[in-house]
Amino acid sequence: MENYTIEATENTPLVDLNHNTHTLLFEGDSRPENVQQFFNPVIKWLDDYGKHLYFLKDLNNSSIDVVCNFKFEYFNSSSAKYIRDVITALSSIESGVNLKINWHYEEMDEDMQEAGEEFEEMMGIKFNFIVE
Amino acid sequence: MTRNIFDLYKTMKSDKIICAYHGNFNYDVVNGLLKTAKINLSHPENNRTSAKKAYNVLVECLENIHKHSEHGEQNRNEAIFLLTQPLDGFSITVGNLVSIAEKEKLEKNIDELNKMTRVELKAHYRKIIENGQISEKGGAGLGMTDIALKSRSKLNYTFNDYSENELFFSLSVHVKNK
Repeated sequence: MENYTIEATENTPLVDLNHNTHTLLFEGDSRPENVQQFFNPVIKWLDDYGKHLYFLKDLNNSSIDVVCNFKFEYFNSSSAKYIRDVITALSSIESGVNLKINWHYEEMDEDMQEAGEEFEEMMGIKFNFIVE
Repeated sequence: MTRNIFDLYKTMKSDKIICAYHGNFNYDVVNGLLKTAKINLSHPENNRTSAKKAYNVLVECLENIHKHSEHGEQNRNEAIFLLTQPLDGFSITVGNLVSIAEKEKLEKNIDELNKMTRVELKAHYRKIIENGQISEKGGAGLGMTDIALKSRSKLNYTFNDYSENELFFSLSVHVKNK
C-alpha cells in the first residue's frame, strides 16, 4: 500500500500517514470547504491500513506500535465529526497493535484540551495529552 | 459621504469595533475575514485564551452564515459581522436575513441551548456527533452548540422585521477574559 500525505493549506491540516514507520500525523487548521471530500480518502486509507496491519502482525508474529499524533491548531465543528471517524477507524485496528494516540495542545488552549478529553471519553480510548 | 465615514469611524472607535464587514458571504470572503480577525486577535496585549476562543466562535458564526446562504436564494447572502473588544473580553455579532419560516426552528434551538447546563451541552454535542446527523456542509445545530460550549455564555439573538418573507436575524456572543 502507498503512504498518504497531503500538505497543509491555510484551511486544511497536514496529513501524513506512513505505513512503513507506523506513524500518523494530523497538524494545523481544519476548516475544509468540503469536509467530506477532504476526510473520506483519509478514512479509506485507515481502513486499508487496518487490513494491512492484520496480515503484517501475522507475518511479524509480534505486536506493532502505531503512533498517531493530533496536533490541531484549530478544527471547526464539521471537522469534529470526521476526526471522530478517524479515531473510530484507528480504534477498530487496535487489536494486535499497540496504539498510542498523542493529543497535542497549547497550554492556553482549553478548548483544544477539552476537545481531546471529549473524544477520549466518547471513544473509550486512552489519549496521551502533550502540552506544547 | 466623507462625513458619513467620519461618523462611522467615531462609532466604531467608541463601540470598540476592531473588525467589521458588510456584504456578500462566500467561502473566500469568510477566509479573508478570518485571516483579518486573526491578526487583530493575536495582538500581544490580548488574553490568548479568550482571543483563541473568540476566533473559534467567530469561525462557527461566519460559517453558519455562509452555510445558510447556500441553502437560500442566489445572490441573497448579504450579511454583516462585527468583532468588538469590550474591556472584559471579546464580542462577536453577526446578522443576516432568514425566511420567516426559519424563525421558529432557530428560536427553539437557541432557547434550548441557553437553558442547558455545561454538562447537558456536552451531552447534546456528543449526541449530534455520534448520530452523524450532519450534512456534507455541517449543520444540524452542531455549530450553534459549539458556539455555546466554547463561549461559555448565553447566546443573545433578535429578529427584526425586514420584508414580507424575511426577517433580519442577529446573534451576539460574548467571550469573557479568564
